[in-house]
Amino acid sequence: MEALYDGLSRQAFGLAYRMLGDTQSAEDVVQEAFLSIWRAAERVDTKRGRLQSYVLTVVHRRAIDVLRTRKGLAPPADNPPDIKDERADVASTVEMVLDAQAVRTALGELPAEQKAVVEMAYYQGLTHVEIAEKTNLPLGTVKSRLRLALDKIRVALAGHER
Amino acid sequence: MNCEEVEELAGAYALGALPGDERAAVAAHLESCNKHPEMAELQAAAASLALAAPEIDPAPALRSRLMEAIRAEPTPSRVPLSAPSRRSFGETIRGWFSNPWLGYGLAGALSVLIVGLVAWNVSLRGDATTITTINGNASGRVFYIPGEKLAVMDAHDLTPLPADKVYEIWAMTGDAATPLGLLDVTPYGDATVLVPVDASGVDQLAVTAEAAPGVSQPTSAPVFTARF
Repeated sequence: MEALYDGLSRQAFGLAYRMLGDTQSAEDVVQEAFLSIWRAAERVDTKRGRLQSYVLTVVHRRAIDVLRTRKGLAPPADNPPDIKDERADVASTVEMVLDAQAVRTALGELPAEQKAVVEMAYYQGLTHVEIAEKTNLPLGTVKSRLRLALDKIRVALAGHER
Repeated sequence: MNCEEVEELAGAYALGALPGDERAAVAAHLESCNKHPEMAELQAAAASLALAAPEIDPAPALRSRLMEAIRAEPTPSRVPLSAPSRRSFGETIRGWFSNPWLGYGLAGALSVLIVGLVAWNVSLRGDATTITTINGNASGRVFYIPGEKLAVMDAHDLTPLPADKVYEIWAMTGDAATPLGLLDVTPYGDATVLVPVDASGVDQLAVTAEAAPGVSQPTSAPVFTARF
């Protein structure tokens, strides 16, 4: 577990800190994510990419829970934070592209208005309705920007290792 | 919800930016409609954004706290790793197992995680390491580090065996077979194991399905082989 932690903690903590903005919350989320891997060890696929995807997916999900709790919102019914269902985490982990530089480049090359809505959705955990309220954009514009931006990222990352 | 509406919401859906009712409606549509093949790609693109965050070293205390918390957890019950002789691990690999409690005393499932990381590390080092592709009814690779006399077998797509059968690893020199231990397979059909072996004078590693708890000589054709 130490090797796993040493291999992935920089990315995990970096993501949690990017989302939560404070060290204590980020540490709590990272610790919870690695603990969930300990508990789910039997079911976790040990391929390198799957491990990395799994760790970061759990960190992201837990951080979203924290953000929603801060906003006073109940977490979605299928992912209550007080019921740590590692099986669901494992089953719903999406494979991700593993080339961090390629992902950063793809994100950085988006037009500013598209990058902004993607970051609000992914890192701040805002819904499209919340993004529309925050930016004073029509909801339809937010939907289409999210779609366009993600399509560009998808195309930019096509062919990269997973 | 129709296809057009799903397409309009695809970006927000992949990014997890839909309120619960809309998310459920999109998910229900995708269950029964195959006209949105790009959705998985969009979800992968969204998940990949995790890597765009700047990497930051967490405080060393977090590592200690995590290990403390793990000690307080019940030990996972399954023991999927069979490493025949841990004494002959090389120094490189020992580094990964340096903590006595988490290292040599490490039980079960977590070994698999760590061995996976070892295989990853070995694959990244690239120095003095032979990488061989597995041939047969499995996919994967075998990394061999001559300086350490250590092979890391990383196999996937294996057929899980009934309880009275085991996968057994052999060092093959011509027709002569030397047993190297068992290969335990996860329910996903994956297996990763450290195999201390001196590959000089060995033609290939072979894995056969044998009667539990293992036999002294192979009795069936290899399920897969990896030639040095």
